[in-house]
Amino acid sequence: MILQWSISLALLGPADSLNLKMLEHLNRPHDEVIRLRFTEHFKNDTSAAWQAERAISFYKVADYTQSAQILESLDSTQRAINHVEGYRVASGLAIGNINVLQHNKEYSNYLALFTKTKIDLNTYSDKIQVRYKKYHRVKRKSILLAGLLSTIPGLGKAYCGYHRQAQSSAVVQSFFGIITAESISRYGLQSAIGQSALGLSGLWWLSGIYGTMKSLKKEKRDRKTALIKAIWEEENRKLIRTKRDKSIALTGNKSWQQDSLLNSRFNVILATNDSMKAEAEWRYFEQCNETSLYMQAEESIKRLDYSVLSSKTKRELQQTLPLFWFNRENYTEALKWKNDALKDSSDKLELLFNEIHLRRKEYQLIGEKFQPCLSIAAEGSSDEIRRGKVLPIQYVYLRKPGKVVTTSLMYISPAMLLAGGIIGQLPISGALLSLYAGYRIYGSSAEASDSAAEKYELKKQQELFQKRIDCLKSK
Amino acid sequence: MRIIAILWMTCLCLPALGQQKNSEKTNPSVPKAQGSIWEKGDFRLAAPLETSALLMLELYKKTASGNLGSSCRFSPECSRFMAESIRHQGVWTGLLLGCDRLLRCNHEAEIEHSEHLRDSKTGKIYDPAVEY
Repeated sequence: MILQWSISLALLGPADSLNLKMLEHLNRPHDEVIRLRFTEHFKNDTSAAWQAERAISFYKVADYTQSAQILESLDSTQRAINHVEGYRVASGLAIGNINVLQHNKEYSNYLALFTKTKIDLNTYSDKIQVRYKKYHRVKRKSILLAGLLSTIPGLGKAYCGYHRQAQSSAVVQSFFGIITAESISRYGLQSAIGQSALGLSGLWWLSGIYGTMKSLKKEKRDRKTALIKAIWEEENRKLIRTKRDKSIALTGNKSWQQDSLLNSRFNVILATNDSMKAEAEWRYFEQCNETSLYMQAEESIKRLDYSVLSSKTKRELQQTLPLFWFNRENYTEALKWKNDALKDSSDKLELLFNEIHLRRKEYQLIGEKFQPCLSIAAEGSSDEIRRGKVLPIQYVYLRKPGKVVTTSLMYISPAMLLAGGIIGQLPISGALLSLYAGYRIYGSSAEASDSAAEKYELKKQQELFQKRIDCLKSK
Repeated sequence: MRIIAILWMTCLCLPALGQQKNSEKTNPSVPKAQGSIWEKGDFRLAAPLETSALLMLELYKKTASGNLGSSCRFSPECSRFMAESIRHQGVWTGLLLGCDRLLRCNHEAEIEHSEHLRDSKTGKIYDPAVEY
């Protein structure tokens, strides 16, 4: 074992140092490096550990058929497999480093491209162009100038493009300014009231300046990262799609989630004790369930040893199992829908996707996970459908109307007391504060009535969907 | 003036403490103060200002925050954001960042953050102090 380990280290050099030998490997395609490393040296090795390692390498290059073949031929009871993690640490780290380095190298090329002032935008899609324009708008702005302009409340934020924030900060800061001016003119700078008012308004004023500068800096960084990521994804989209299509073609299963499925299968085989094995088996079951491989999922659940599972997993199991049986029953029906829809025109497909969209919304509303048996219709049909039609549902944050009113009153009741106190001493500030409190009460009650209407509508929808689900279950 | 100030402070604190007890029994919709701001290692003799600032935030979180409801537009909430920024950037800059966050925490400013990431649990805008 030590000999093999030392050979593997000698071949690729120390795992944690990125030396020149590794850089040489980068000139070759990534797949080729791994094939050279494993298939040639350890093809005829009878050791189960090395064969498992080979399976892992095939898995890494997305050759899932080969990987699955080796994996199935392995006897998981062999003790040698338990040591495979050790080998993986010894040799896989080097490969991991190569992957990271390759990724970084390509990424740094993009960064270098980006630092040049001119990018030929015409070569990219509209989405990237829009992102670039957004970034360019922020990039031109100077952080120092934003800070200088912020000395006048709200102006700095307006310069950065945050017009609404500028309004609110201008109102708050000018209000503190009025209180300070009034307190100083009435009681003088030496008094406790004058000094505390000055300190408080100074704190808000400074926070406005500092916060504007920091926000602009963050905005610049975020937009730049988003743009680079978008360019990176667009460049690699073709590659990713080819890899996915290849895996679909190889596996026969119309699922492109084979990657994570095999990974979970590896974890089952590589588990060293009973509890680890049970947990891994549970993950494998989940993956099978998600990829609509219901027969494999059923076999997996039979193998599962419930007694050694953690309480958290048991709770998850309780929630998922009924869904699994429900999915399994509806699987054939969903397949039928899909095939029928594919045979006919695109109008029917459109209808199908509307149906899926509705169902997804139903489950979202009742707080359950969307059923994968309904999403299989979207799998393996065509790229257009996969990417374009299945829409993510935006999370709607429901405000409770009662809470809004209570909250506002709680804020405002001490504020009114304060206003009463100030009116005795500082009439102008007191009057302004009272006006503002009145405005807030009006605003929050309007907001509350809007939320109540929205909530009522949602409740009606929820009832309707519940009826549909009951109907589906009864079928 | 002093009497008014003392009266105001008592008016602010007493109902808040009383309502917290009542809300536990009668109104389950009023959220409790979620978790504690105070963490292990926050108490440092070498940094008394930082420690006292974090203690004050903890006191606010324990007493008033639960009664005011979850009206903050961001995740993590403003008090937690301020505590995080004090830990990461020190008292003065942390305090300034926290005050700026308070200025941004309103309905008008929320619209401008609509493109930002949302917290998957609460649906609020995700804006941690570490990113500043």
